[in-house]
Amino acid sequence: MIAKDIITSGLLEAYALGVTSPEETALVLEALKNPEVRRELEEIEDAVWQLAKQSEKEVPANVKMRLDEDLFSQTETDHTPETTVVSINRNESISIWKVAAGIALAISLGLNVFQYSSSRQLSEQLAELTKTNDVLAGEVKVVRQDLDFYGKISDFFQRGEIKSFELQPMPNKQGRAMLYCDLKTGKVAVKPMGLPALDNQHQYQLWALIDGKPVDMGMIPNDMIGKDQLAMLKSVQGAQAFAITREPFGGKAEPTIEEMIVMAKVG
Amino acid sequence: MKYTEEEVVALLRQKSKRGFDYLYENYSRAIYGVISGVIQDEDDAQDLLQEVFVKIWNNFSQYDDSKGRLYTWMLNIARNASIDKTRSKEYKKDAKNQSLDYSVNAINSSNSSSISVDHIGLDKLIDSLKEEHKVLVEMIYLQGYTQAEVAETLNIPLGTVKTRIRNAILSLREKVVEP
Repeated sequence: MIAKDIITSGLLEAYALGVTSPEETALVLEALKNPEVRRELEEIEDAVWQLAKQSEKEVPANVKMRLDEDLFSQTETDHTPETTVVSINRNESISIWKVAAGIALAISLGLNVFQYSSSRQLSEQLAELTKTNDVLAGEVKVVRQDLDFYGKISDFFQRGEIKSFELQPMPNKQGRAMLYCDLKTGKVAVKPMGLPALDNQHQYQLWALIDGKPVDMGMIPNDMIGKDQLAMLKSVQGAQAFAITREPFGGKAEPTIEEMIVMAKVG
Repeated sequence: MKYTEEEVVALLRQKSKRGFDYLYENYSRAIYGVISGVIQDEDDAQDLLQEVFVKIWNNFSQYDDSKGRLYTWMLNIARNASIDKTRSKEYKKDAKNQSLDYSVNAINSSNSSSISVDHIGLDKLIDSLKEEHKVLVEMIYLQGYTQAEVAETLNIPLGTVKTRIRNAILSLREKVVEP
């Protein structure tokens, strides 16, 4: 189907409303490679969104509170444990909690000896212990998520055909980074240990060069910079080179060439 | 602070809470409106809104910007979740809720659209459409009908459904002005 036919067919409208069949969806996705079709779809999408905006409704604040509790309560940072961060120091923090829990337990046992007759105090201690227990449970959850991630990393290194590259500093720039690429699956991981620290207005962005064109490979979380951690980024096949640029936070669609920090050629 | 759509997407891909907060701040009211169009009970609609945002957050890696805009993806998640909910057995048992069969009968038995559209803006906008477009937008947008189901229910050819969808959206495009 040519662009004009697609545009007048009603398919794009149905697609934006989410009611196309799998075959129709495939047809639309193919047609979207045409910029004219793409623009038309975007206008349709904007109209559908305006329709939704017309029906905006105030949401009670407790919904956001519940969401924050569900999604973010176990971490105080900008990143949830799902972020692909391997924390090398996790064991240390467990033992701190163990000690803390041990002390809490010892204190409450000690208090028990003297105050077991007072049921009110007992219930307070029970609350205290429950709290400690909650903290430990939260900690176990984080450790479990870390283990999952370790599993992913070890899968990445054991099953794949991994090639490693050292990204070298560009002229007048400083820094190094290791990049691991699984030639079978195209998965890419970066160890940003040698990259200079950034303020929180900026981020490092990884690019792959394919047929001479830069392709966005994702952002390296700022809290991993300078650490012995692995950032799992996007997958790519057939890259001729990898480079990291310093970009405004959130990254850009095209790399800022003057801010290219490190680079490695493939092959 | 205002982010572009690309920036929000980049933040969410990194699982940034800032990205999530921004998304919620800017999109939750419209998504809640869409959910409320399908689910009348306020508590149910709020629970579903929460579920939808959890889904958006957890499945964000599935969002592919080459396939369409971020809000289209979110709206479709919200609508599918709402429609799944109305089709669930548990929900149908609740006699207070208008069942799908009822809506179908409503459409069949009268020439007017008797599906209740509670909120002010939406029905105003939809009301401004021609009758044949109005019914279609309501069925697809608020009731989750597929194109084939619409064709069958209204007893019109599938090709006509497609043409009407296009014309309905075209007239919406004329009516809605970018803020």
